[in-house]
Amino acid sequence: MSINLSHSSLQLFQRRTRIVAVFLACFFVILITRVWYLQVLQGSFYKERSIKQRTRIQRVLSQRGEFLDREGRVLVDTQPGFNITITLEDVQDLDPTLKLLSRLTGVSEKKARETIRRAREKGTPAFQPIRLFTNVDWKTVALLEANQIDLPGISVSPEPLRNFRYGDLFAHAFGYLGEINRSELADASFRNYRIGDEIGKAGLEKILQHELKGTDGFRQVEVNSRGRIINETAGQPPFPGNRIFLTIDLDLQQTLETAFGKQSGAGVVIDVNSGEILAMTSRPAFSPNLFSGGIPQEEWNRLLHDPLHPLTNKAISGQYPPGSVFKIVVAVAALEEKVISPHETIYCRGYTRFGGRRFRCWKRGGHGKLNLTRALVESCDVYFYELGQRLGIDKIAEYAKNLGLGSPTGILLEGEQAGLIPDRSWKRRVRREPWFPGETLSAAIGQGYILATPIQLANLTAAIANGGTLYRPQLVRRIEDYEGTLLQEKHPTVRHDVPISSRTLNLIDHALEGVVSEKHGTGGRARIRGVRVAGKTGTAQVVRMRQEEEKQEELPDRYRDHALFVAFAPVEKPEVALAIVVEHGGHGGSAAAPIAGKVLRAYFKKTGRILEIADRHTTP
Amino acid sequence: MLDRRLITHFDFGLLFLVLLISLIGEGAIYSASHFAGSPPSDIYLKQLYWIGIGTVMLLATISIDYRTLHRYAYLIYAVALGLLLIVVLKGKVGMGAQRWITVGPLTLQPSELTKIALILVLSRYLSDVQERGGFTAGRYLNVALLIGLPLFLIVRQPDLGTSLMLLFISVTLIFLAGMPVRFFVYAGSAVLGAIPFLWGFLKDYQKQRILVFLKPDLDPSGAGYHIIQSKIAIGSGGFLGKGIMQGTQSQLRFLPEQHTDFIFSVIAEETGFLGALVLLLLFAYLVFKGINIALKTQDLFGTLVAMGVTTMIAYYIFINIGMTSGLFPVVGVPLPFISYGGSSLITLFIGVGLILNIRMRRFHEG
Repeated sequence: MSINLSHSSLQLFQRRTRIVAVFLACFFVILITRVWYLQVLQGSFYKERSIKQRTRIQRVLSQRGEFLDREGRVLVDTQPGFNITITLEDVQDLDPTLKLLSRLTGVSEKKARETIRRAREKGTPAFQPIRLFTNVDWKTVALLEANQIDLPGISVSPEPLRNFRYGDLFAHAFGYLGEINRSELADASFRNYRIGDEIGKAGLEKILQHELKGTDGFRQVEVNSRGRIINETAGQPPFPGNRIFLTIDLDLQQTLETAFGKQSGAGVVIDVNSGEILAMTSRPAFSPNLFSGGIPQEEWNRLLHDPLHPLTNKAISGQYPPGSVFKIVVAVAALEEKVISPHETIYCRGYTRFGGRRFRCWKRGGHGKLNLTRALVESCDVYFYELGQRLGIDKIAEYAKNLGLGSPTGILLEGEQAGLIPDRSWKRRVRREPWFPGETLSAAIGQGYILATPIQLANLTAAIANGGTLYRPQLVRRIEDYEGTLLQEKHPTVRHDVPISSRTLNLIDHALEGVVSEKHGTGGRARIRGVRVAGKTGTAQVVRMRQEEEKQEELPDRYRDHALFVAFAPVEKPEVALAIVVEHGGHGGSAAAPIAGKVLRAYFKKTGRILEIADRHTTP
Repeated sequence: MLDRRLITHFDFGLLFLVLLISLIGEGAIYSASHFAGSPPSDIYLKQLYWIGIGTVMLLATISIDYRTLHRYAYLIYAVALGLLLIVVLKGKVGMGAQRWITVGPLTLQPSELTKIALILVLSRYLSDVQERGGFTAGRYLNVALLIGLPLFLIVRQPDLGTSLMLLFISVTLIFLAGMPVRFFVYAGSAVLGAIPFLWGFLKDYQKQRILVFLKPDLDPSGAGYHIIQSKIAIGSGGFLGKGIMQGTQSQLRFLPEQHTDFIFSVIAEETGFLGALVLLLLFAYLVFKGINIALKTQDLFGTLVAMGVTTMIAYYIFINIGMTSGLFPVVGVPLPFISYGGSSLITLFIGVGLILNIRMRRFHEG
């Protein structure tokens, strides 16, 4: 072993060692420069990235406000529901996961796959949970939790679910919820909303969305690389939505809906002294609960294509010829215009001749001699043909419009129709034809072009009952925040006062009371012992009859006439008015008046005006 | 053997430096193994135990005169090769590679021992060549064989990191031993030419690592994840760091393999540029102490062994920190004295033992 190296070779080794030393020194300089670059020059950039990747802002949804009836009974609230979500990032193997999931939930694998495919197309990132199934029951939740270990990436997330406590009660007015869509998201009023949020899509849920919503809270959390929340760094609790006290009365609403049974149509009950809607329905209805958490497509199609139109709110959108109910308007016009005196009689022989045509009375044998009161009580058509001729169509239209027909009532709902009150200028403008005098006769008995919605008829009746004040029908009484602080009190809104003399009104009231109370009155089925009820029946033609041969009862349902009835009570000091339309119900007196009777009975039983026992005696 | 002169020439400073760096590593492992929201891990205790064993091995290494090791260099080399062969025949497979053998309760990684064995045998052969009048064609071939045999076995495991380390150390030793510069030019060109051919021998995950290194943002959540997260950890530490145990990248598990290969990122995140600089300066001081000892050694064998160990430590540092800071591709190389793991720690302590051994005996006439 050599210890002493030759001088020259030792020099070579030392030189080369120094070269290596310089080389290593360079590397240390490079490393220090690199670390300086990352930490000092780019420090803030990386700091931001590290904060961004570990911080998530989570929204805490506010609880949607409740709907209550006028007595403070909760009609609609929010209950916890459960959704099943999948986070693709955490799923190890999609196929077995979906297979097991489908076995546990009973929902088809195909459906889940479809949902995932659609979410992927929309560009949902892998760490964001995708909602697979909504509103699963407790049993499924328990099953999934028990199998959690075999289902990585699958989780059960609680989500508030709108709960319409009484099913289809008041369904059309409440409306329903649905997922916010793209165009809504683009709207400025929805700027705090996100994809997947549920908002009111129809009815009061839609109109009062911003009252009901409340304010979402948030949680700022720190998550680890797997997205697990390690701690909460900041936050703000949500503020629940406001409580909406409606004008409707649960008992009355239930009575009204039950009274319809399986019949379709609409009914509106209104407080004559404020315009508050006490009950309102459209039949058949649907359960808005179906929409909570997303309505299945086939369910939606069934509702959409049902020939009875369960999704339409017929109380405000159904336009019907008012039939004989319109005689109230003609009678008021005739008295006010003094084209007839209360004592003048007209002879009815079952028809009248006009312009070479026969205009029939509903009673073929004729009514004989009648004055205005009798003509209203017995709903004589011939009498009103005469009044129509004396008034002319423009006068009739003027009074009809004054009483609120032909224009929306302005109720707080979307989709209200205006109905139609024709006159000469309308005919020229729209039909490009002159008005034919014969059409005035049809109009005088509420047929022809005339159309009215049930709410217009109820409102008109209320105006007659309260002495001529036409209110804007109201659905909301007051709004409170969730702690009970009063935010808004809604006061009755008068549209205008209809100038009608009290003499006229007294006469009409008297006649309408006769409709219900008298032996020959057409509205006898709305009679209540102990309360004076005024009303008017109506029958709206669905198809023009080929002379008198066919009887209504022999016609198929869809060609049968609509039955109408309007009423108010008590006559001496009116409180409540209503309008009932039973589609294809036949005669107003037989189909619609009994419903009115049940509702009025319930109303007066509740206010203590009649006793349970008395009620039993009055039921035929 | 151990007379007073040995003790006066013992470099306590170097031993102290190595223990200091090991304790810094101990603290880093403690921090890196404690995740927010998880029960504490006890691997820092295991590391302390390995430091103890390493120190014992270091003292054992000192006690044998390095000239005795000169004598047994070929034997040690043969034993290392034998162990590598055993690994090939019946080794334990872990992480897609076959690197370990189990002897009783111990799990050994023979490739670690091979580093020391190769340094010893090359130093011995190269110093012999110098004594016998320099390089000849046959001697070039012998050198190539000495390097090639273990390299072949380790590449097959496969262990890219260790293979590269062995190659770098060997090339450095050959250079130091005076091999003509033109040889390196030829060899370098040959290697460059062979790259496309060698590419075929790499395992998929190794190819992936290299590709992703070249473009980490190609696959930020997949293979590029390690590099990106490590850079975020280092960068977000800023100048002063987030505080010990306060590193969000490590505490929230964004960093991969944070107590082993990516421990530097934890230190840089929690102690900032200041901490990283201190660590790098300590490393530099260690490396230049080693070079200084080599320069002052009068025999070629001692010089080469000291330089072999020193450059081994330096290459560990460069590759590891270069990898965690995104300068090099991710190859599994630990940070010396800091990363968790017994095998590399023992190799390093034995290596430092060799340097100390040479330092205290370099003037001693055996």
